[in-house]
Order: sequence, then C-alpha cells, then structure tokens
Amino acid sequence: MNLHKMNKNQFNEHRVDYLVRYYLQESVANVEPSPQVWERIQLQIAGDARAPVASEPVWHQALWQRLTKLPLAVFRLPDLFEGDPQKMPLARVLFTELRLLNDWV
Amino acid sequence: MAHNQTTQDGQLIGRVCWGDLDALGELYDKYRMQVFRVALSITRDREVAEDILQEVFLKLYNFSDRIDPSVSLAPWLYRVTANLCYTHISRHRRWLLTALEDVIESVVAPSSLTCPERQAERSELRAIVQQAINVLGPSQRIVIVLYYLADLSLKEIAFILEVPEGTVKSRLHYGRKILRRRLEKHLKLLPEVAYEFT
Repeated sequence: MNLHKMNKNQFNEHRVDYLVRYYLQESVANVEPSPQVWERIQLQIAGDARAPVASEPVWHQALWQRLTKLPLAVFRLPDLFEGDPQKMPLARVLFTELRLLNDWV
Repeated sequence: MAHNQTTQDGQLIGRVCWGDLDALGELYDKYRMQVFRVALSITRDREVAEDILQEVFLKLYNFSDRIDPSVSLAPWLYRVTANLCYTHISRHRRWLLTALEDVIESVVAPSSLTCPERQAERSELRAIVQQAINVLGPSQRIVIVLYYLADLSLKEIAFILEVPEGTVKSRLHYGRKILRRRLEKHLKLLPEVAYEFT
C-alpha cells in the first residue's frame, strides 16, 4: 500500500509491522549454530546404528560400575526427558557413557 | 527453479533413506540456518535452538522414508521445528522469565552498530519490541515468527502447523493487536526512532 494514501491508523499498523519484522530479522541476522551440532548429529546416528549388547553378566557388571560413577542427577530420568536445557548435559553424559560401554563390551 | 530445488531435495531424501550421511549433510548445510533462526526466535535460547536443530535433523534421518520427496522439504522442517519449539515452550515456562535482551545482545554483532547514539537508540527500540513480544503466548509467537521472520504466507503457516488457515489468521491478528497496543504507546514517545523505520 502506498504510504501517502494511508490514514493514521493504517500508517501506525504499517509502522509496527515493519518494526517487528525488522527486529526479528536483525536479532538473528548474524548468528549461526555452532559446528558441534553437526558433529553431535553424526555421533548420535553412529550411536543408534550400533545394536544393543545382549544382557550378559559381564555387561551388567560393567554397566553397574559405570553407572555408579555418574552424577546422581542422571538417575532422575523424568527430568532428563522433559527436555530441560539445564539438564541436557546430563543426558549427554549418560548417552556418552553408554556408548563408551557399548564400545568396551 | 523451485521445481529443481524440490527435485534436488527429493533425491537427497532418497539417499538419506539408504543411510547416506553425506546427503543428510547437504540438506543440513542447506537448511540449518532457517531452522536455527526460527528456533532461536521462538525459544530465545541459543543452546535450546541448537538442540532443536539437532533434533530436527535426527528426525529427518530417522523418518526420511515418511517424507514425500516430490514436495519441498522446507515446510516439513518448519513443522518439526515449530512442534519442538512449542513442546519446549509449553513444558518450560522459563521463556517468560528469560531476559530476551541477553540473547539478543549475544547474537547481534556489535560491529554493525558504530555510532554510540544509534546504538543507544537501537537498544532502546529493541528493548521495547522484545517486551511486546514477551507478552505473546506460544501459539501466537510461533505464527508471528513464521510470518515475519520466515516470510511465510498464511496458507504456508497453516500447512506447517496443521491447523486451518482461519486459525492462523486469528492468531496473527490477535498477536499483532497485542504488539501494536504495546508498541504504539512507546512509539509516540520515540518519534525520532520510529521515523527511522518508516
């Protein structure tokens, strides 16, 4: 719409629209995700591709030894799966531990 | 051009179905910025946005056989991104408490703001807009971001969110109404800043 033909109300609406668009685009214009994201994706895919190890006694024993070394908060599973970003590192710790264990077994 | 893009995406998706990580990498390079910026605008948390980006492409890898290769991949990616953002916002009301200014300050390059006066004006304006956006609920916020940031039409947003076009129109209408009510009040106080953008 031509700015000259707008009434005051339309002009204000246009101005606010422009402002919100400008602000949103500016706020993310110079930001990029870290390269680690793609590395994590590859790691997760590689981890998922490995078949789980059969529950043999030695596996149980090793798992127990590993788990006892993890922070207690890791065991609060409901929190882990609620996607709280504060707790995501713990989920990653658990994932890494299990992957290492899988490699070891 | 768009048809070529779709064909190219379709071919890459076909390769991803066979577990081709290079094909996933090509799609990641092509779409990561769009996904990340939308996620960041909605969640206002860089780490969460990166987690969402990661989750979106893991879903693409795991469910590639369910994606129609004959249509553009972008709407599917936006849909998954919006759903993950919505889940995050719904579960964590932290976004109401998070200072958006911290995020914005960390993502806007200081080099783009040279003059101290302009920098101060922009900061003030940014703070006003962010306060207005803070008030929006998750549904309105997602629509506002897809409309203003991703430049999508109402029809495209309706397709992405799997809701009727009228619902999108309504969310956009009330979202804008809230934004206008909040911003107009301040713009009267900041004429010199406002005129810069008109």
